[in-house]
Amino acid sequence: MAFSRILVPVGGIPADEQAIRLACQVARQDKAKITAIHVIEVQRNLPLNAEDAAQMERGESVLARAEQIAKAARGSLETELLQARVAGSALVDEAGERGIDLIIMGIPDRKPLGDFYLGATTLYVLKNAACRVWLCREGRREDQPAARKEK
Amino acid sequence: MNSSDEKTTQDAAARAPEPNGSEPAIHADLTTLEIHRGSHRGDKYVRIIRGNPHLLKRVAPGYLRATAEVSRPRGNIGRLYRGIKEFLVGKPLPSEAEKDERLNKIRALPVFSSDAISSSAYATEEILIVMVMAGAVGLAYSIPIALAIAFLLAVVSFSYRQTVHAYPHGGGSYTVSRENLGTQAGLVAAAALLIDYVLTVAVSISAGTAAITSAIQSLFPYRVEISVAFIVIITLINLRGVRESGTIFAVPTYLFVFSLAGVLVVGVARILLGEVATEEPRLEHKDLEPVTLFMILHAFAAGSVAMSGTEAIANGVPAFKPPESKNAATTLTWMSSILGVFFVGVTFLAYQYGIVPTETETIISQVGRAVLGTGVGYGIFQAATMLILVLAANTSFSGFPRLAYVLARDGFMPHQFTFRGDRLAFSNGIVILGAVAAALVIAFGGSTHALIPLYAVGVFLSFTLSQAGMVRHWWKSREPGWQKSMVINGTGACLTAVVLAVVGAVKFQLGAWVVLLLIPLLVLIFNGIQRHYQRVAEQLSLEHLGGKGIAPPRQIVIVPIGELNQASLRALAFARSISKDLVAVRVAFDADEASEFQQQWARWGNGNQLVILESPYRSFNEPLLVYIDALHRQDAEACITVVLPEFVPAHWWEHLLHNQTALRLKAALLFHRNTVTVDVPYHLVR
Repeated sequence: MAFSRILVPVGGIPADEQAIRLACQVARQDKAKITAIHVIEVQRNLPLNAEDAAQMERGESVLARAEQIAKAARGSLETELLQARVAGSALVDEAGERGIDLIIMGIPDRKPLGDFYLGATTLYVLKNAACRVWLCREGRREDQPAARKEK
Repeated sequence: MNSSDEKTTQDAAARAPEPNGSEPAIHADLTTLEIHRGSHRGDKYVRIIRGNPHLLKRVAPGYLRATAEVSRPRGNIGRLYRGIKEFLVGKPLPSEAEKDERLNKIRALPVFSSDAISSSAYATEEILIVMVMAGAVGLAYSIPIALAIAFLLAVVSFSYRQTVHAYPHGGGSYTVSRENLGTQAGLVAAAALLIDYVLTVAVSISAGTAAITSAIQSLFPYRVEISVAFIVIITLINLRGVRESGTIFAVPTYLFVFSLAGVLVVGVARILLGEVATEEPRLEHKDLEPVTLFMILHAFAAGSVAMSGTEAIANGVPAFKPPESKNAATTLTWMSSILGVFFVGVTFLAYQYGIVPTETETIISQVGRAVLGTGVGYGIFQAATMLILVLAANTSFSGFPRLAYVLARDGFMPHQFTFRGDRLAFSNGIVILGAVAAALVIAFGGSTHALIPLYAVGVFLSFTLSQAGMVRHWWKSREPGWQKSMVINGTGACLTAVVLAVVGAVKFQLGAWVVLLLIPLLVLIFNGIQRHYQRVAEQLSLEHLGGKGIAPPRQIVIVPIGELNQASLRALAFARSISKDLVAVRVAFDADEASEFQQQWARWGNGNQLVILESPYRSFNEPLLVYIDALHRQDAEACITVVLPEFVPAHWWEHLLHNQTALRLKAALLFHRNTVTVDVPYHLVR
């Protein structure tokens, strides 16, 4: 199974790094192109095209960081900045438009207050993306207790 | 799941509707929004298309910031040059890194104080050379004289501490004198200091080289080359930025500080333990002179030369980490305390150990040898002394560019001195200082003894003006405790004035008159530069417009054409797009050439006016310039735009195969009044 276009959603969280590194490995092997996408979520009380300069700047920084990580992993990627009400649907739609055949998502180990939680964006992508989706969960830190066992 | 059947584009910079309701024609800040329809009914998302975020990062609507990538050269030669430059001076730093480049007190001390601290290596000798003329009786005066100089140093340092707090943007003597005694007094202080900074570099580097060539005499014929190499190295290190140069110069400076402190502690301890019997100095002079007031003043003035460099911190306050003034004042106190203790300490040890000046060995070396013996400790001490003497030049590399920056900011020096280089250092000031000092070293053949008499007049002139300025400052401000501060600064001003008079009198015939000529000359130049900038500012000022804008002028466009080809037709089309008043001009060298061109024009000229300028003497530019002037006289308010068709060969060396007519015409039009020159390049691909 070879991939030609890989999408890596990046949110500026530590887990992004593992996802990008993994994407670079796969891309090198399959000669695939990687696109890193950051989605700015716009509140419902604002127009969809409302500009939040701070969010734009943060988005640019997240994408610049993604490029640095890829460069360090001897890969390269193109970046895209999207703005949507819900990040998940924008990612799925953009993946469809770009003909993406693999999405690699970095996810944190867990939310600080309790059980393991995938998050709305990851769940949406898992449920709706037509292509393959790989999740790349970050390693557990030593200072974090193990997750509660499922009953 | 194709979602973008329908998409609309907006300019992010101009989301507000255009005044006439139309979409903006261009996306000025290179960012557009594409609205895409999602896969579910009603779903939409926006794709933000960024022009070239690697090179120009959009920070806000209508506001782009160039990234480091922009400055990265594309061609091989450019990359090679950049690589060499980065190897020598380091990678470029963004402007926002300026705060990180600032110095803490530990780093600032070697950067700003190497000149002052190095003085403790020779100041005692300066006193003893004068007082030894009076024999043992004269040498006994060395300690009181050293204490008097230490007192003067304390007064001057106190004065500069006030300056540092009162003028946190730097400028030292220049700023204080200018604000309190008038612009011309400030410029005199600045000129004096600039001269002194240049001399400090030339003299200290030559002294350091002399130390090396004394040790390795086979290097003596290369003393000029060695001195110039030292200047180049110090210049390059300073171009790497103030923080890095601080780190590099910290090691030798602290090595000297700790080794001399060790010598003083051991030397005093041996005296206290009774290991040293106060020896009668062995004097070579047979004919002793009586101790006179002039001799004491002369020795006092000679020893006071040690104080040069004290003002450097006051010039460089903005280079310190916040709180800038407090850190600068503390560093100033450290510096003057170290210098004072070292100076008095060395003088005390020299007297106690019965050391007198000789032609073969310096006082500091004799003191070191007497205290430490001739072992490894003495070797390290001597090496540290040599290094600090060379590094004394570095204080000038901190002081000169900053003073030049302040003068340029005030319009008294060329604005180029305000430029910060790749590493945020004032590169032009650093390079000019290095170049002038190297020129002096070369001109004097590496032996700068002739420059020493010129030295120190400038320092004491600036000290005197600065302290007199502070007296005026206290008088005007009447801040709490002003009387005490005014008395201290007044005393300092009088003492430094006395030293100035003595130094001037003693050294006038030896060459100090050169400085006294140079200072007014520099002041004249400063004033001339400022008058120029004032004239420029007055002529460009918006105030003359009376709040109105400038109406677009009528454009008369001239297109000089050599031959009809794609390049000239493109230039014609461009010219047509900016004005209907268009004239194509063909300079022909004979009637046949003119007639042939007219026939071609009938086919390709697209109805535009053509004027043939026959030039039987085969000159090209001159008839065209005369024609432009004549055309302009028809409407003096109009703007003449000369549109130049120019094809650009694919390779640089192919330029050699073509007439550079457009280039020569551009050069001729550069200084032609009311003429705009527009180049329309046509890039050949092979």
